[in-house]
Amino acid sequence: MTTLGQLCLLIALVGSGYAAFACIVGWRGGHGAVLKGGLAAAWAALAGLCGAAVILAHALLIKDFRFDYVARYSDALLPVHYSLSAFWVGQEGSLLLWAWLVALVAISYRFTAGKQADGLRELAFGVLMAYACFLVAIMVFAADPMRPGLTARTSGEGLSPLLQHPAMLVHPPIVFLGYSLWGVPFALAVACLVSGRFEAAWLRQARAWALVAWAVLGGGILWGAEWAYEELGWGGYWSWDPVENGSLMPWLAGTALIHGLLAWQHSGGLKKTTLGLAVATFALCNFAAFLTRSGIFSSLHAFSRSPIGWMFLALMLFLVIGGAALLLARRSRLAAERPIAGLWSREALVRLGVLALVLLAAVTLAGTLVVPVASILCGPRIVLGAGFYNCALIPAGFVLLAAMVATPLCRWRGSPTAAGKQWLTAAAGAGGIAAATAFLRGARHPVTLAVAGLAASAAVATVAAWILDARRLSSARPWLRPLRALALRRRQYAALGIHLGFVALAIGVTGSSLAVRSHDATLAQGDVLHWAGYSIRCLAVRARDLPDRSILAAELEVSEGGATPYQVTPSRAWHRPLNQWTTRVAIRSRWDGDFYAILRGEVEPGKADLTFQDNPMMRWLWASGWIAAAGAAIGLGPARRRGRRLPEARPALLPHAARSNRH
Amino acid sequence: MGMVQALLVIGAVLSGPLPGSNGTIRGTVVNRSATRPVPCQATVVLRIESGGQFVPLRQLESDSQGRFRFDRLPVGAIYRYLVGANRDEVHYPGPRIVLTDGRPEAEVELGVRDAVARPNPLLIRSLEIVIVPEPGALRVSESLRIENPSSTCYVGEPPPGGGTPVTLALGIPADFERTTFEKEFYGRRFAVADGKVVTSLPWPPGRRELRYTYVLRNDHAYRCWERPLDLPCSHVRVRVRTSKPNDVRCNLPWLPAECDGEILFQSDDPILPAGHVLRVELGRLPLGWMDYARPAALLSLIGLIAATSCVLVRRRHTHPKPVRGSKP
Repeated sequence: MTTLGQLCLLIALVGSGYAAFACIVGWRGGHGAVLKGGLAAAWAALAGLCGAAVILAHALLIKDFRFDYVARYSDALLPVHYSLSAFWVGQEGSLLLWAWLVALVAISYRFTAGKQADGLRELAFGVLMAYACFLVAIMVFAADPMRPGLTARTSGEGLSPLLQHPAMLVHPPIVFLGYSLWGVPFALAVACLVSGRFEAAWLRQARAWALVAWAVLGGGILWGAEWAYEELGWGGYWSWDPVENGSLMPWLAGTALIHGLLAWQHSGGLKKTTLGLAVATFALCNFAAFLTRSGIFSSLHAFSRSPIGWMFLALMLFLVIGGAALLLARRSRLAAERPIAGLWSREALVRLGVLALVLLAAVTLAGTLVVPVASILCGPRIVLGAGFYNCALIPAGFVLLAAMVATPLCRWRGSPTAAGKQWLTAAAGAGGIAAATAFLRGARHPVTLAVAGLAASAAVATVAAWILDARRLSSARPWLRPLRALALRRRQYAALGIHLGFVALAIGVTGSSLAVRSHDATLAQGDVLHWAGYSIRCLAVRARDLPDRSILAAELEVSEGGATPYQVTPSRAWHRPLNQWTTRVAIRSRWDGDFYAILRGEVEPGKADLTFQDNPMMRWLWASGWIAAAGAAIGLGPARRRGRRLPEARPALLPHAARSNRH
Repeated sequence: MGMVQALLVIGAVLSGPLPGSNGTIRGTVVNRSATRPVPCQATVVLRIESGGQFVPLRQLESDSQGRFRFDRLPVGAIYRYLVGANRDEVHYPGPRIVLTDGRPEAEVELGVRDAVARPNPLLIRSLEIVIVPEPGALRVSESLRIENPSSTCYVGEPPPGGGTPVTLALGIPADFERTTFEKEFYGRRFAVADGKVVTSLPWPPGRRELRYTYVLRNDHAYRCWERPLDLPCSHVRVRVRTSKPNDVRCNLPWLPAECDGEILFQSDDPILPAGHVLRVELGRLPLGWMDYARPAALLSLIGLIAATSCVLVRRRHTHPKPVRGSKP
C-alpha cells in the first residue's frame, strides 16, 4: 500500500505541474487543446491526491504500522475516531490534506467560475494548480506521508493526548481549508495583474470566494480557541502563541480584503490596496505554514524542525516581491475613479476599517517576528505578552466598532440622509444609555463601558437601517415591508449580521479578559467552598486506572444563589505510554459567564488542588462565530434578479459601468 | 493465574507469621570502595518473587556497623528472596536466597560503593560495529563492552540547567530511525534527549555488555557514516557486509575479512580517545524504488512540457496567432 500511495503522489506531481503549465500557456496563446490537456492533468492530480488521502486514512484507521507516518502518530490503543485526526497532526499528513484541498478548490473554482470570467479563469486555475504542485513537490521530495517504516512494529509512538479532543477532528482541516480557499482571490488577483483585465467578474468571484475563506478560517480559529479553552486547562483561549498569530494574520488581512473589494465595487477606490491585500492574505497563509514547519518556534502547534518551513518562507517572499512588482507595473490602470464623497460616506468608513485591520495584522506580524529577530540580534529571548497586542488591539478594535455603528446608516458616495443622521444620533444615545446601565451594574473599566455603549449603538443602527429601508417600500403592505427589505437587500443585511457577530465577539473578548475572577482551593470529600456567589461542595476525589492512563477526578456539586445544584467533574489524566499529563476542565456555561473548574492535582490522597474561575461572557464569544457563519452563508446566496431593487437604492458602480459613464 | 498466586503469596507473608515463618536473613552492608571493606549504613530492601518479578517486601536501615536482620520469614522452596542495599540513590542487589526447613537462616554481605559524579571513569574495552546496507537504509549493529575500572560507582553529573544526570550518551548518527536493544533492561533505561540516545544508569565497578541495532534511512547512492566515540575506546572493529568492497572506505586500517561479502577494519591504536570520529564512506548503495521514481516523475513532467511546447511552436508556424485571452 505504501508503494501505491507513493505512486499516487507521483501522479499528482506530474498532473498538477502539467496542469499549471498547460493552463498558463493555453491561456496566453488561446490554445483550446492545451487547455483541455491541462484540465485533464488537473483531474489526474486530484485523483492522485484523493487516492493518496484515502490510502493514508485507511492505513490510520486499520493501524497499518508499515507506514512510517502511522507508526509515528498512532498506536494500537488509539480510539478509531482519533486515528483519523492523526491524519493532520503530523507534518506530512497535514501537507497531504492541504494539497488535496487546494486541488479540490481549484477544480471547484474552474467549474463554478462561469463564462463571464473566461478571460481570467484559465490563468487563475493555472496559478492554483501551480500552488498545488508546490505542495505535492514538497511531499514527494521532502515530507513523504507514504514512506514505509524501516522496522517492523506492532504499535506506534502514539498521538499526543492533548490532541485527543473532538475539536481536533475539526479545527485543523478547517484551518487548512481556509488557507486553500484564500488561494482563489489570490489567483484571481494575479490573473488580473498579469492580464491587465480588471473586470467586474473578478470582483464578484473574488468577493464570494473571499467570504467563504473568511468564514471558514474564522470558524477554524474559533474552534482552535475553544479547544484551548477546554483542553489546555490554563483558563484562557488565546495566548498570542506565534502559531496562533499565524492563522489570525491572514484572517485579519482577508477581512480587510473583503472590505477593499466592496470599496472597489461600489466606489471604484482602493484598487491597489485590494489587489495587494489579496496577495498579502495568501502570502500570510504561507507565512503561517513557515511558522509551524520551520521549527523556529516551539509550540504545541509546531511540527519538528525541518527545511520545509523555509520553502514556505521563500514562497511568501516570492509572492510579496512578485505581487509588488506587478502592482507597480499596473499602477497607472489602478487609480481611484473618484475622490471620497465625504467623511461620513460609506467608502470613508470602509477605508477606516481597512486601515484598522491592516494595522492589527501588522502589529500581530511585528509581535510574532520580534521574538526570533531579537533572539538572533540580542541573544536572550524576548517574550511578548497580551499587553503588547492590547496596545494596538484596543484602539483599533474601537475604530472598527465605531465604523460598524455608522456604516448601516451611511451611503456609498454620499453623506447620510436626514433620517439617517437622526438615527445616528439615536444610536449614539442608546450607546450612552447602555454604558450608563453597565456602570450602574458594577462595570467600572473604561473599555467595558465603551464596548457596552458601542455594541448597543451598533445594534440600534442596524435596526434603524432596516426600518429606513422598509419605509422606502411604499408599494408593499406595511407588515410585509420589513421582510421585503430584508429579501431585497439580503447581502447588505448579511454583512450587517456579520458585523453584529463581531460585536458579540467584542463583548465576549472584553468580558472574558477584564472581568475574570479566579480562586485556588484545596478540597477533600465533604468540604464546602463559598466563593463569588457559588457554593461548591466536594462530593468525592476518585482515582482510576485505564489500560493506557490513570485518571484523577474531583466530583463537585455547585449551586448559585439557591438555584438547583449541578455537578461538574474536572479531571486530570496521566498518559503512561507518552509520559504526559492532560487536564480536562469542567465548564458550566451561561450567557452571562462560565463556571470553570480546573483540577491541578492531589495534594495528598483524597485532597484535590483546584482552581475555580468565573469567565464572563464566554458564550458570546462562541456565538459570534455562529452569527458570522450564518451571515456569510446568507450573503453567499445567489444574486437577486434584475429589476427587483429597493427604491432610491443606487446601482452598484462597477468599473466597466464607471468607464462607460465617462465616455 | 500466576498473578493471583503471587498476590496470595505476598498477602500470606504480609498478613502475619505463617506456621513455617521461622526464617531469618541477616547480614552486613560493607562499603567496597575503600581498599578493604568497611561496614556502612544503608537502606536494605528485601524483595520476594511474585509473578516472575521481585517486589519489595520489607525495608530497614542497617545499624552503624552495617548490620541488618529480617526475621519471621516464611520458609520453603516457593519463597524466593532477593536482598539489596540502597546508597546514594543507587541500588546494589545481593544474592537470591531460598530458605528451607533445613536451612532457615541465611547470612549475606551486601557490597555498596561510593557514588562519584566526576571524573567519568568509564572505558570501552571493545567496540564492534556491523554495517549492513539495505535498499533505502543502513542497518547498523553495535556491541560495546563498557568497563568501570575504578572502585566507585559512576552516577554522572546533572546538566547545568538541572535534570537527570547522564552517565552515557551514545554518539550514533542523529537521523537514526529506531534503536532496539538486545536486552529489554537497557531498552527501558535509555531514552532519546535532543536527538541523542542517553541513559542515567549508574555504573558500578565491573563490565557491562551493551548491544543494540539502529536503522538509518538512506536515499543517496553515497553515504558517509560517522560516529564519534562516546568514551575512550580500545579494540575498535568495523565490519561492512557488502558485495562491493571497492566502494567502501574507512578511517581505520583494513584487515583481511574472515568471510566473503564482508570487509573488516580494525584500529591498531591501543586506545582511541573519546570524541574520535569513526568514518565509513559507502558508495553505490542500494536505493529504494522511490529514489528512482522521483527523478523519473520529474523527467516525465519536463518531457510533457517540452513536447507541448514543441507542438505549440510548430503550430505557430502553420496557423495564424490567436487573440490573447480569447475563449478557446
